[in-house]
Amino acid sequence: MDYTIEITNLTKSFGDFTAVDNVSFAVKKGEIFGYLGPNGAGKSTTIRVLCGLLTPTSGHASVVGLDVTTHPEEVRKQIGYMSQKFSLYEALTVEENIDFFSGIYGVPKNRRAERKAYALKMAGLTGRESSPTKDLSGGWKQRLALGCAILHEPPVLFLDEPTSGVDPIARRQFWELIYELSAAGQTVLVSTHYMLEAENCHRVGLMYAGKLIALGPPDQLKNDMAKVCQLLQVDTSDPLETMHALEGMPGVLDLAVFGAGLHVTVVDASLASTTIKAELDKRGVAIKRLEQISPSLEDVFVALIEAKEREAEGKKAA
Amino acid sequence: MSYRRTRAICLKELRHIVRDTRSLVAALALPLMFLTLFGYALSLDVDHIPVMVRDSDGSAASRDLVQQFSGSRYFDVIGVATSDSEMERAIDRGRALMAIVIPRDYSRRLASGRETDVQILVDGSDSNTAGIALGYANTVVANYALKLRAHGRSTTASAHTGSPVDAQLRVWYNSSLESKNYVVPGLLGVILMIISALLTSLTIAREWEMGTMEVLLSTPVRPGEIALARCSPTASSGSST
Repeated sequence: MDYTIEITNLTKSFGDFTAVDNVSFAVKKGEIFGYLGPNGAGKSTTIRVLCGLLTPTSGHASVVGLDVTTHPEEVRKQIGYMSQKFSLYEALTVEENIDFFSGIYGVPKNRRAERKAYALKMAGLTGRESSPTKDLSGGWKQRLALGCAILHEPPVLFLDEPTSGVDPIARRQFWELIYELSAAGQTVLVSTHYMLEAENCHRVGLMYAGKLIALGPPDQLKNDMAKVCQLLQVDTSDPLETMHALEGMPGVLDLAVFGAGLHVTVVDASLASTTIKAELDKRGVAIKRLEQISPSLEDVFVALIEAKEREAEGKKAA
Repeated sequence: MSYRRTRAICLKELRHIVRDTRSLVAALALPLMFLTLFGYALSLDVDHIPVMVRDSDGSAASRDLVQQFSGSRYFDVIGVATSDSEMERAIDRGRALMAIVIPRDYSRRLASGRETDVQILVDGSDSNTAGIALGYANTVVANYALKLRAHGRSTTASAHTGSPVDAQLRVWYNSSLESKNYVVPGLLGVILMIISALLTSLTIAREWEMGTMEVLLSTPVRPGEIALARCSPTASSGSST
């Protein structure tokens, strides 16, 4: 199998703190790989190792077959990187920013005009070349930053939380661009903590406290979850009373408020439905809706992370 | 080292300096400020040395000697002390850098043709200035002594005055021997060095703060290119002022 990004047993520590702990995964050419996890889980650290900005403590990371520790300069010619923070120069105009990145990425002279036009069109900024970058709104800025990161047509793109702080419509447009790039054969590794975005990825990896705790296509992760537990949607006249009633009930693993109702994680859906119904009837709570639903990626991750937390607490107690 | 990459950063840096009023002010006003400050405040010239006189003799001859000092542009006689303690106080307080102490029998000894001592007190806390001041004082007294001797001779016999060989001094290029004239051009280089290092570190700090440095480092740009490209615009803007 031909992998564009390969990470084997990667560990990165800062003093006593291990930001990335023995992580391994590989990303195929043209794949959109979602790198998920709560803040501080080690996503940015992994990406920064892959960009050659940090040296791994142990393990290997390679991009397009080049080891990032031994060939950082060659690797940097092959990648485009968009950092969490806004990565353009605010004092420069749109065009000057494009020209600057075109210069430092070493885009050949005869390709420059064409790449500039492409970046402008992609960002939807054609005709606004001379506006100062600081006057652009968040969505435009992010798209321009992406446009600048791909001026040199890199085979690999690293996007570190590219859509944080961007409104949903701009985020949607941004993802359409990512699909286009992936269709053209570019490999995209994107980190995010928006679970809805994760559903857009071909494959996702979930990081928690420096460890990779789940890896696979979104649908597969959902199916895996269905094997161990199931999800019930419970809408009632009194959500608070319902929570009290269901807490600690045998067969109920977890409760979470979702909108006006509850998501209840249970071992067996049909068995639990009967007991929940009986308990709520006894308490005089009217049931509006009680049915099994298929879990979203968010449910899967919440369940996985809570399982890990319980495990950690159990260890501490022992 | 890539010319294209260096040029791209260089161009961007120039634009930043021109657009960011703060760095523009720093690039233009700081060198000017330094220059005027050094040009006016930093002077190695020793002149107008404040001198206190303690004249115990109070004769025409002693006043004539004091006259030699007050007539020179290197000395300013700031007053005549009526007691030793007053003279000491003037030096302690820093009002006077030097004091001339003329003994009681000064005119009498001169008139009788004997050798006479005059005491010169100098505040040596700034040894360099003190040394130069002593040199001046010595010259003034020596010239005066020569004149007195010549005067004495002319009344007796020969009209031959002074020493047989006399050096005629002429200073070229900086005829007034002002230290400003050589300190300031040298300072230009020093200021340029300070300004370009200062501005460069400022812009690099700003890049880290904004997060653009991380992106810059993830591109094929080499650290050497960043350093060179950043120094040159700041150095040129500094030198243009």
